[in-house]
Amino acid sequence: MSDCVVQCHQVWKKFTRGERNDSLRDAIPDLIRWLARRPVSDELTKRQFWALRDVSFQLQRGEALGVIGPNGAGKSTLLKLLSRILVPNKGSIAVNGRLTALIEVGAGFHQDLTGRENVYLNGAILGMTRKEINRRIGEIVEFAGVEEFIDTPVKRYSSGMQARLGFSVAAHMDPEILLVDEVLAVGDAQFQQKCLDRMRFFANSGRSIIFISHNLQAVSELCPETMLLKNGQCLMRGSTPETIKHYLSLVHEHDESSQSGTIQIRRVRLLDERGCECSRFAAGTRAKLAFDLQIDETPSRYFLGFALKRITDDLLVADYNLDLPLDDSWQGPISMELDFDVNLLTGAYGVTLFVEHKATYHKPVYLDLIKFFDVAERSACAGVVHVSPQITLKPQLITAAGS
Amino acid sequence: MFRELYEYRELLYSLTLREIRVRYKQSLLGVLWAVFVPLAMMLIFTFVFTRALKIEGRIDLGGMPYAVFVYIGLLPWTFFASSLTGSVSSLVANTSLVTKTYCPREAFPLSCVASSAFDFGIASVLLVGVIGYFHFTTDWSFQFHATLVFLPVVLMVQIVFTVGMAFLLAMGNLFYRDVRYLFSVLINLWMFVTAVVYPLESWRPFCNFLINLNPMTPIINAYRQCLIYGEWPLSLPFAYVAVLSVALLMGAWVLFHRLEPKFAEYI
Repeated sequence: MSDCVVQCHQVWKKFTRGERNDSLRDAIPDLIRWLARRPVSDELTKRQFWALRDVSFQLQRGEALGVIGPNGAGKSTLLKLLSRILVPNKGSIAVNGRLTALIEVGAGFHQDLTGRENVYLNGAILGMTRKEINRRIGEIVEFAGVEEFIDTPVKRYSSGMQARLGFSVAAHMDPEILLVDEVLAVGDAQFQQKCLDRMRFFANSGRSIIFISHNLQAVSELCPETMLLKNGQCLMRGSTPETIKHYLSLVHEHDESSQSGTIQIRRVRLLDERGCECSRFAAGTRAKLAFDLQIDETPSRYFLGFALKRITDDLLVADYNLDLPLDDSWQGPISMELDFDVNLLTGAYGVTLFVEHKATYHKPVYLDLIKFFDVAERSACAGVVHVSPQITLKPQLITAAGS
Repeated sequence: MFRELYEYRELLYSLTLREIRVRYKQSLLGVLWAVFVPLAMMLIFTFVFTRALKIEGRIDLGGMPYAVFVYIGLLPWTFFASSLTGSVSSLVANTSLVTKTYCPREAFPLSCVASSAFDFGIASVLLVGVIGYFHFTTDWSFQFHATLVFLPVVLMVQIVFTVGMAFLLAMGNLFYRDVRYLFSVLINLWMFVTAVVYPLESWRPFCNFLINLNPMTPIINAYRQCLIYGEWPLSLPFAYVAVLSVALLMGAWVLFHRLEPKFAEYI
């Protein structure tokens, strides 16, 4: 495959917990064994663990791939392997093209040097030549917005300024493959947007991006496809909304037994107008949430909470506190149905159900993102709310001139 | 190995520039310190050995003033020692670069050697002044010898040896921080078993053999031979050092290259 720029084949990476080489007694045999090039064994010693297990994927030219997953899933390890900072214990990685990894913005900034000197140094570390930097320094400085301070030592910069300058240097590299690891956490909203725009420009100009972030909105804006890592394994790779849904359902694994004893919600189903289970709705239809509620306490003390969120950016679309239509004498389980309008535009949404105490706001039941559904809207539109615009034509009566 | 390093020559240049800049940032005299420090060392040793210990008449300097003798020794020695002092902690001092970016890690110790070479170059200019001073104010006179052309060879041998040592020390200190402490003690001892501040020669052949086993002694002797005595340093000790240096550099580099993938994990 000629257009494959990154090929990761069954990559395994082992790490060790705690300190290594605690004493000379351990260290010397280790070194000898290593020099003798003993083959890597599959077995782990007590203190070792797999940071990455059998990860395989390919990145095509011009593709933007998101990588999401909980902390400690191995995302950064993967990036360090791709950028050759680390080497895998097993498996192979082939990279075809000039690769720049942005693992920490401004890594290697020297505090005593001025902004300008650091730009040259950082550029060289990332693989730019002095000529290239000479040509681009104006742009770099302008992008970072530190024109006035460029000849001031970096130690006098605010942390935001350092981060902006660091990103700016990397953003003006000309890589064929860009690896980015959670660098949007720095800088203000405006700068974050600038970074995203810059990366989108990269993606659109036929270069490949691997983008690691916890910012699901950024991932979904930038990457059509996303890979989900957990405990060092690649759980899935697919379209970004699908992967995010899978990720969120992992994060909010709903354990029924953990619900409070006296109030429980079970068997949540999402139904369409015909009463069939459904996860894909047309805008403007009605959806029905069916579930079993068990409430052994005075129902009038509680609200039933219902919320809709757009999953790609956590945007709260609806949040209702509904009175339970039950007598206080009610005992035992009941099947409930909750109807709502799918007045939503194209996107992936999640349903949250909870029961909240009216006075204490305590939520004995909280089922965050228990169900997901997609809305497909054919016409060209953007936003969240389906407002059913209609055009009507009304012929104007042309009256006699002058009146 | 070579090609990759060549591709990253800009990085090497930038890192060296950084070392030099950082060294003289926020100092009033700046780069003049590169001249003052060896000059001050020369004055101290000259005072101690000629005024305090009155050793001048008792040792054979081949007619050369002690100040010239000691300066020619201190110059390459300072280059050697400061290169290694920088290199030993060069990888550890750049932890964030080693763990967060990819570049040939050789660049870190190499940039330390290169920035020390810069100081060496500046301090060498002063050597002309020192020689000139003694040439015109004392009855000792400096003569140009054809052997001067051999100086670059001596310098090359020294650099090759230094880089080999720098690789080993930087790598050693990355795995075991003991190396730095051990080094700071040994480098002082090393100076006194090398013919830096006094000539080392013995009438017993076995002792001579031991003295010349230390690679720095033939190197520093070779500087004096080429510069002042007009002798070609084509002796057995120098040949041994030249071969040893090349072998050391090759071995150290290969080892460095093989252990490099472990650096980010073990640092």
